[in-house]
Amino acid sequence: MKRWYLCEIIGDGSDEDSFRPASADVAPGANWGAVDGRADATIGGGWMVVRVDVDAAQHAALGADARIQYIPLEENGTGRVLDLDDRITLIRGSVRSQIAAELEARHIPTDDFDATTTVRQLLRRVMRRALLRQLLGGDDYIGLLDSTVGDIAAAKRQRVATRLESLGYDLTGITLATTVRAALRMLAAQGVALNRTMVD
Amino acid sequence: MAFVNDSFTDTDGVLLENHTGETGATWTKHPGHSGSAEIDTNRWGATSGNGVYLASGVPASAEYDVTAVLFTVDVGPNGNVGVAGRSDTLANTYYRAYYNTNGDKWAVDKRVAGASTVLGESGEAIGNGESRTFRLELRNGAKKLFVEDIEIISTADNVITDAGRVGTWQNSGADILHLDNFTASDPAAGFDAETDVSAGVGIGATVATTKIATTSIFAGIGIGAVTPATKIAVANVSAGLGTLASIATLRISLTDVHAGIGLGATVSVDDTPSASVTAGFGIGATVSTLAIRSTAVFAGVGIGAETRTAKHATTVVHAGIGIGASVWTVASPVDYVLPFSAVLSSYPQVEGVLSSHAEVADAVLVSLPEDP
Repeated sequence: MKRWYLCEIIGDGSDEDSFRPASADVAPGANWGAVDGRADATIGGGWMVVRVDVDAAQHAALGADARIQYIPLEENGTGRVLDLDDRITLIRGSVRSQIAAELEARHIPTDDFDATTTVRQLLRRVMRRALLRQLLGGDDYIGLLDSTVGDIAAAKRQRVATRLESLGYDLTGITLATTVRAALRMLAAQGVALNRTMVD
Repeated sequence: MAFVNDSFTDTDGVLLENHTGETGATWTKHPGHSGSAEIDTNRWGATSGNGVYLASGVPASAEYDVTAVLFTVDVGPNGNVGVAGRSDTLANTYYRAYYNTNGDKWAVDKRVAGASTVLGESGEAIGNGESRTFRLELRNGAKKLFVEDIEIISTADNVITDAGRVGTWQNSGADILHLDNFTASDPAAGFDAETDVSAGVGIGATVATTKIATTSIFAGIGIGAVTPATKIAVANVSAGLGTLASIATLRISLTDVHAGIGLGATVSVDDTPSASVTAGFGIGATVSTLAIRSTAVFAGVGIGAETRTAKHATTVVHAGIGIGASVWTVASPVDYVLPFSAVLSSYPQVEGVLSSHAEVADAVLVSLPEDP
């Protein structure tokens, strides 16, 4: 059963103790793949979004580890793990709110999720936000989501714009008055080649 | 097209930096590593340490495959051996895929300025004396590891975007793991779909056997534009504008399928979900053998537009506007059917819908409940 987790990154980056999601050690036999949510891959800490193929025991072990946050994409009442094209409204409302809080805490906007949003769209948002952070590196903005683009220092703003346009992003519609939240949503919605995810 | 190929055929004990393979395979030790490798029984064999050897072949883009055969000599000791791609020639930066005898697992990871991050793992215990062909597939949208052509690891990580070079990677002593038949190649024809695939403008424009995800496939503008055998998800597939434009054998999810505008536009054998399927505008536009639900099926506007054998739920089935437009054999519920001046046949489950739907009041309903 493939399930999704937000995992703290452990290790020191050496070949003997590589950076890796905590889930790799907690469920060592499971197959998994991840997207790194760090802006700087040379520094420890941070998080990854990880898809792990787990059995019940492995899932229980992962859920019991404080470094690992399960994304409970499960149907209310039945506990069925939702398919990618299921709507997130099948998830119990309070759980949905918890998921949103976890994502917003990682600087991933969720305010536009509605009754039509699917699991695929949610996961895509998480991974595309992570990829954007990789692409921007130290220029990734981690201030308040509700601040505006104009609040970003001009030099950094220009570097970000240049970088994104060089990668094929369309910045039309993003102005100084645009909130960071809205800008991130607009960027995440774009299907540029470097913006693909494991659910695309 | 292979830009590196090496069967490692040479005298035992020749250091890799003194060996030259068949294509693009003059090897240079990466300056950030000290480990060494040599020829061992016509294979690549590590001798010691953590090492990267870069091949001289230069990839045409950052998207390519690196393939090799792994031989297990003695899996008792700890050893890691594999391949690298997108490697900087100076900085200690690359993606790599390898087998690790410590834990009996395959892994894909990235090394950025000397810092290693594992991006995916898959367990497999391999006994001594066995071999596995493995392939690291580097695309902007995914880094995948295939073993014996089966995908075992996938990650969307993309922090290293330059094409770089390919090479071998090791953190291993001698006689643990060997490599053979190292190949690096640009994606095969029809296998390199990224954001758009377009066959061009002209008579007979064709996109054949497209195998991987794209956002758009467009067979072009002209007579006989064809997109056959599209096999994996795309957002849009259009066979183009022109006579006999057709899309055949679509197999995986699409958001839109459009066979084009012209005489004989055809969409056939759409196997999986799509949001919209339309055969276009023109004489003989046809949607046939839809196997799975879509939200809309539209056979087009014109004489003889047909929607055949749609088998699962759709919200809308529209045979088109024109003389002889028809919907055949829709096998499961639809919200409504809109066959203006159409022939609607063998459609046993929608009679009630029809009778309550003002938009189809002029439909000519024949042959219920027979098959066409």
